[in-house]
Amino acid sequence: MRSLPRALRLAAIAAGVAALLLGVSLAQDIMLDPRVFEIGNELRCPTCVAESVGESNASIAREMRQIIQEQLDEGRTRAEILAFFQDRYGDWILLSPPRRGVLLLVWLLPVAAVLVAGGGLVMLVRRWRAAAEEGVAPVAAEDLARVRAALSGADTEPSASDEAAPHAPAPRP
Amino acid sequence: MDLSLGTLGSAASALALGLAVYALIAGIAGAVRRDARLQTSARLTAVAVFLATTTAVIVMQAALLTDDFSVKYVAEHSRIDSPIWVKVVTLWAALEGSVLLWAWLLSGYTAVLAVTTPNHALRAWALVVMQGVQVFFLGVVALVANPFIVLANPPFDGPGANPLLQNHWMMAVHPVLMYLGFVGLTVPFAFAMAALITRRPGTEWMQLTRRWTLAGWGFLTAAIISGGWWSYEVLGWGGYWAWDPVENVSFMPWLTATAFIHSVQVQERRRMLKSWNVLLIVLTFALTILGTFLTRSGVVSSVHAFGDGPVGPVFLGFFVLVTLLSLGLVAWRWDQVRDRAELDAAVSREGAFLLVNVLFLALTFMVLIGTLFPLIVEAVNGSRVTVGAPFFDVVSLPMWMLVLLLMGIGPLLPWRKAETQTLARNLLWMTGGFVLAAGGALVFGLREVYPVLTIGLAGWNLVSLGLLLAGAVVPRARLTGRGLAATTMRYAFEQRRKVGSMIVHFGVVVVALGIAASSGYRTDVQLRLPYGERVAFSQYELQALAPFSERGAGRVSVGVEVAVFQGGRQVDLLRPHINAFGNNSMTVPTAAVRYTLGHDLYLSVAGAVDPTADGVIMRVIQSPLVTWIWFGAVILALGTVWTLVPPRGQVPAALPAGAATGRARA
Repeated sequence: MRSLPRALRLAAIAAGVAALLLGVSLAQDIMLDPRVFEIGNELRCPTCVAESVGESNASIAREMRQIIQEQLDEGRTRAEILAFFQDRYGDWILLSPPRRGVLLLVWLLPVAAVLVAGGGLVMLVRRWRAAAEEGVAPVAAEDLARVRAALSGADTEPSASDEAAPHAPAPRP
Repeated sequence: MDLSLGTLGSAASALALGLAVYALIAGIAGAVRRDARLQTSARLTAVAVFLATTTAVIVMQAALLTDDFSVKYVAEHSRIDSPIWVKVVTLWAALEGSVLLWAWLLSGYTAVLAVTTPNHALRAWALVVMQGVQVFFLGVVALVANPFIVLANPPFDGPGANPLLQNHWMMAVHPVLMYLGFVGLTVPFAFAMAALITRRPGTEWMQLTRRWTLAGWGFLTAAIISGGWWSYEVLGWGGYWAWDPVENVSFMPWLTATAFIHSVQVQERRRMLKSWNVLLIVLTFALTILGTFLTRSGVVSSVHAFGDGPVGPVFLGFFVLVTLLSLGLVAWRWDQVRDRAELDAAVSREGAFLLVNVLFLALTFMVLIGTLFPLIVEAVNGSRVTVGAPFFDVVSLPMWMLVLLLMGIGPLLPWRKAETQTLARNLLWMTGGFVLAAGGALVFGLREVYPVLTIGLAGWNLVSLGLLLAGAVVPRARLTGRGLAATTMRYAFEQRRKVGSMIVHFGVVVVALGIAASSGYRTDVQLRLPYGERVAFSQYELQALAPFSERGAGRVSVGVEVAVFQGGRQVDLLRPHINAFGNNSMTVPTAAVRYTLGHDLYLSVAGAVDPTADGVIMRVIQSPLVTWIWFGAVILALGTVWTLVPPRGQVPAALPAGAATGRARA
């Protein structure tokens, strides 16, 4: 709310500027060049719901586009123009929140989420791989012999070389 | 009280609510006591609920079409001289009608499910869950946001629907698609809950609902992209996506649903991720409700939020209830859904699907945090902050690139374990595709990072799709001795799921190229076009001819005819104009677009159209490959349909009741 009177003052100034500009620029065809919209897309339209200065058709957005053009004509850079609006409206005017203070959080949280989720996935994959290896652990020679003995019904003691490789499940890599 | 359309509508919605409550109670009792008669009664009542809601919708349409302004909704949102199609779509032009539409579609789905689902252990409880959701929506219609309230002193005319909505015929399509998607995704949610309740956490719930899920996902995809086209044509700034809160909240369920349709395949094939899949579908459903709360309660503001109402707290309550109940159910059945998963190798199809899950969930989280952050900060320390499109672009673009990267690799990886040699060969080919495409882009002078990367990844994916198709078709052709073309056709008809997914992925590539080019290489200027003079813009010359004004049904337009010349020859005549509807003070600049395959020329009147002035101020935008997004969407939709159509001579989805108990599949 605190920025509203300021916004109105700015609008009044802008209207004056726009009127001047309109008189001056009648001769030339390009009224706003592409950089204006690029910078406008970084700024919030103060009176709109969720629209940028580049998008909106509201009068304040049109005036702000004029101001951007004027400042570009004066040779100011994109950063200077954004700072100009930031001074007047606060961080709120920037659609890309500045990376400091509480706003840093909104940048860090998604990154943190990716790291945590990625880390969690790596851990899960490790555990599941371990489970897969356990699941097909080679059978002890002794147990195998007992099973064979039970199957054949014979009472013979199997020799060590008897538990041939083809029957034993190979451990997976 | 005399019989008016208002009372009739109120009665129909109250009757629908009463029937739904009965169906819910009878359904629960029938399911708990395994009483077939009660279950049948609940199923038949589901059909009756549908008839009652249909009556309510017909009554509302009758009130809209006959301009019955004694009905509050009509008085507030319709207008006598609106064209008929606007009156029809006014049903969903504001909140109360939208909820009625949602309830109607939900009752339709529920009735179809009640009638067509084979007698299956999950059916009774799934219908109970559907009916529970139904009771909520009908409760909102009948008790909280009743559109049928009768006005004692009806006005002679109403204000009409929001001008932004009247301004484009897409309004007749986009919201319906959106609700069809939301409601469609309720079906797998209901069956997942039923699976938990009945202790059958296997794959049957997802197999029974596979078509519903895919259809819901397809509708949601189509809804989001058609909404983008609506924005493009109506909002006048030449863009189609602004990371606006309403866009975001419809996008979040899409992201989780996309994760879901990939993730369920891991469970179908490898019996893993049981709990995860249930949680994903719970999240998807909960997000549709949360989204409705956020955008309809006015807690976040948006250009697309047409009509706030008293439903905010109700939807918030329902969101909390749904979340608690379903998570409680998952916790209660935890020992059943807990994964005893085994993974043979990380580099495998299931490994790729796991990564897809992480990426899409991270994207969902980013959208959620970005959308809610201003709310949270304001609640904590009262300061107002903005999180807008540049934030979402910066954070999401690297993740989108990873999605595209993975989309190329995943389908080529076999289940269980990839053979290193085959994988290396495939990756080599795909890298070749990447280098060729990205290199080509660089040669043609493109220097922006993400567009070049996207083009490279498009090459990567096209090679991947080629390898995938060749890998399937060539051995078949060799084996059968048929020609390649004939084998491909046969394969496409026999393996609809596989080929459908290839078509969908191809559509994604086309859409991605359209987005990359149009957002990276847009020219956006404001020109003054003096009448009769040719003004150069890019490769065109624009000549504003003369202002015009015309009157349509309930609408006044003023605009300018602009002749478009290319190489000295007139190639188009565009009519950008400004519309005003009824006595609404809001005017809507309506862009005129010259669509071509290579780029769009977009004209939007940026000032007043003054016949006494000697020119007009026009916003002129040239944006490359925008049409690819819409074509890509069509390809996506076709691919989805392709997977949905059952193969010839096979009846869809009729799983025998006994087949459910996790029978081994080769």
